[in-house]
Amino acid sequence: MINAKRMLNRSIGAITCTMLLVMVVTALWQVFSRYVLNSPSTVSEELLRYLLIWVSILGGAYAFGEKKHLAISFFVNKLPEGLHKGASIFVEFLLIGFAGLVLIYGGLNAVILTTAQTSAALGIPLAFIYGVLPVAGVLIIGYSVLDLLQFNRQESRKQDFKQAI
Amino acid sequence: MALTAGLILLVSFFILLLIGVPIAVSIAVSSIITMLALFPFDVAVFTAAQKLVTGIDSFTLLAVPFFVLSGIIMNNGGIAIRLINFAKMLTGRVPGSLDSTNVVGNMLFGSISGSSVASAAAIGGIMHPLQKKEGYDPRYSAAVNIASAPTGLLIPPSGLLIIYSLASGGTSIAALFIAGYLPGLLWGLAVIAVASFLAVKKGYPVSDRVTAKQALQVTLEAIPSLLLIFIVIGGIVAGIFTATEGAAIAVAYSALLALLYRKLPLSSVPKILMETIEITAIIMFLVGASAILSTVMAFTGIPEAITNGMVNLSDNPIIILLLMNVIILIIGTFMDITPAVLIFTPIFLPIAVSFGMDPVHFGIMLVFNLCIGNITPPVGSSLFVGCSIAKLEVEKVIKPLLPFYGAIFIVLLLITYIPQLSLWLPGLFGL
Amino acid sequence: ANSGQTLLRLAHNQNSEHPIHKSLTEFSTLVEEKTGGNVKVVIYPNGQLGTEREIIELTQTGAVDIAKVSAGALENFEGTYSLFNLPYLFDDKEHYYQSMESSVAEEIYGLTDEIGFIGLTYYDSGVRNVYTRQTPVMTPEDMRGLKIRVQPSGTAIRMIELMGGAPTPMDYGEVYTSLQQGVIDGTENNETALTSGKHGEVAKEYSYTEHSIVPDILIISSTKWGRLAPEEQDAVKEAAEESTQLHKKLWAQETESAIEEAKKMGVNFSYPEKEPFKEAVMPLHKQFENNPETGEFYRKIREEADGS
Ligand code: NA
Ligand code: NA
Repeated sequence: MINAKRMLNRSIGAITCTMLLVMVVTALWQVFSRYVLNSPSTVSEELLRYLLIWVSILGGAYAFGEKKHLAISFFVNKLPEGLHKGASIFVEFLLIGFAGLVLIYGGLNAVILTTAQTSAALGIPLAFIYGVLPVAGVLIIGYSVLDLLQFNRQESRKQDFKQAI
Repeated sequence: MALTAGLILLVSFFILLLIGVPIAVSIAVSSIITMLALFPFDVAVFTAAQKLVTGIDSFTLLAVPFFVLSGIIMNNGGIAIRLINFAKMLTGRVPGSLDSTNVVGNMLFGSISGSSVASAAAIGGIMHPLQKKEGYDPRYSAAVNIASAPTGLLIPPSGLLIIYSLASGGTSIAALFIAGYLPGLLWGLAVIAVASFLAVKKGYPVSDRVTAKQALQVTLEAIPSLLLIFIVIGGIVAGIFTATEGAAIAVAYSALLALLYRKLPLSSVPKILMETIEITAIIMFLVGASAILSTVMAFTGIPEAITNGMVNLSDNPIIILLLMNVIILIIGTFMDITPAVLIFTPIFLPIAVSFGMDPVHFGIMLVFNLCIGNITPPVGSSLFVGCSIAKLEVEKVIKPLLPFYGAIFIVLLLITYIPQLSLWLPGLFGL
Repeated sequence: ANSGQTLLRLAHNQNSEHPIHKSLTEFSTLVEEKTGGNVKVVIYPNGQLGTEREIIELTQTGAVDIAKVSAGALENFEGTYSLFNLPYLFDDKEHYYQSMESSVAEEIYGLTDEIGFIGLTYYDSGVRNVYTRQTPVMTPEDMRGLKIRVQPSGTAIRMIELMGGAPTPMDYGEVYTSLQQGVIDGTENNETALTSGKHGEVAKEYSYTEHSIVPDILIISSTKWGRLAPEEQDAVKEAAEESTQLHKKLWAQETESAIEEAKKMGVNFSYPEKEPFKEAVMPLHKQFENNPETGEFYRKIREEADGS
């Protein structure tokens, strides 16, 4: 399971890191083409915006896996252990629901709606842009399921320990 | 409708927040629940999905990953010590000079890195052992470091001001950047004033005079790092590039500098990029979720209802502004700055503008206020990092922090009621 | 409110001082009057529900019922609308009004029924001209090397290229500062951008190239439209067309006062000869004539001009 998570992280990492590097180069090219070549790039602006969307949403899925999204744990941490754990499990299920309904279902609706729409400068279907939502949705559910299995395993290990003493 | 919708929104949001649901998801889910009062499920979910993406679809926002990336490269580039030496030269003759060095170090480093947390860790990490050796009380040293950590969020370049520009519907980033200088400087000076007053009482030493030769060497060493600010802000003001593009220039410059200092081995690149992506994604998810929120608020008329409520409460701008500040301060004590900027701007900016307040001035006031929350309990990232770098429990630094809170709050009032503190400098540059 | 009442949510992205908001308010009043209060229109101004592209999508899915958007924004949903971005499609205002109130426009309005909305009417949104920081644009040669901001649209980019300038796609929000700091040399828009967008503070030369006339279009969700009773549909259509006539007057006044105000800001207005610019963009006309999506409508509109 830890391996599965590592694989997810690596794949997202490879894609988003490449995109980020392309973004830096594209932005520099935009300044160079306008200020030095005096012939502004007409596609860089749109390309940069779309890459930002992909990097952000895919990176967002990764951040869910790493539990890095900002949350207020101050109050939950004050709860007794049982309730605390209940809250954590509730959060995982809520994330699965959010990813399933908003990112996958809502995202697919957006993809279907925009297959015929093309972007202004690059001329690519807008479905590609919204397409990041269902992809991220699947990844987030993957991470949450792995975490829930992990919970379960920790729990059964505790049971074993109790039986041993 | 606004009242019912507002209640559904607020109650569901706080319940989710308290359970420990990530803030971005709490915002999105409570917005969708509220939307279900208006639309069928399919429509609500599509609208949410759309806003999550289009909320991020902004050229302005590109500056965020770029400034984050350049900040991280700079952190790895061994510039903290050079900036500290430079700060030490500037503050050597002030009573309790190492405290003041810490403050100026945070202002310089924070300006470049744009991160209060990175600043508290990097500058505090180097300063605390030095301060201890000179007999400074570690709890006070930690308090000084924490109290001055957020200055770099106001002193440009600043990702927060970019977020505000977006949330406010396109306030000039160049103007906001220049406007941040004086308030950031005043914050730092307020901390220095309190620290040196206390230093006299505690009998802290003054550093040795530096020779002209030392001063020259220290300055020369700091110049390449300080040049980043000059190139980025200068390039924006001179019209060579936009603020967003300036962020990409900052990446190129900091990478070049790190290569020169040989502090950027190829093996560290993936880690640096991944850290950037993580921070960017966290911020962008909040931005996207806030776009869902503001759409729902528009559909239900919540901002107008709040505006009317506040205007009915009092029509005196002084009172209204004070009220706003108190509300923002309270929320800011437990909420991070970025989501708070995204949530409060659409609600409070129209009220402020109706009193004739300039959007640039309001933005500076808002960000300044929320930066205070960054160093207060119960939740404050600079507070936490500042304590952990000083190896102290949070409880130990609260009392030493109190006089600093007081001084910074006074500066907040000055910034609220004296627009010139924010607007004079941008005006000078014709922005 | 009685139970049979229909609520229509109308979104647009101008502020409530803008003439279009007044015309849409008039539309709302007329709809209510003509349906005896059975249909009510609520207006969401200021782009609070999103950009034009977003509110078109929301109209397709049903969160928004009616939207006022630029024909340029519709281009990406239905290729035929790109025709309105074609420079010098219309010879002058008369030709423009005549075409937009003819059966050609009605035909175009119906094309998007399949994808979830139809057009109701159009609103005058002025004539677009080139304006720069310092140099008046009197001939295509004057455009050479000038970085001109354009809306992110293929046609607009090609147009500035053909006219001799260097097209620079840029977000509208960045235009003011970019003009001020000299990141770009100029942009193109109608006169009201000088005042409402404050561009007159930083761009001092407004040249009447009169290169394009892009109408605003009022669209309504197909589903919602289908749910209205036939007499309610008639009432909505009538109200829309009446508000279009009112808007012509309001827009003319707005343009007039924008010019007055811009002159006080120190903006200089010049009147270049249009022929050389028209000739420069002729390759685009060829392209639109040969395009199966636009060819038929292009010919119909041009015939009206050449016939009159
Ligand atoms: Na900064
Ligand atoms: Na706090």
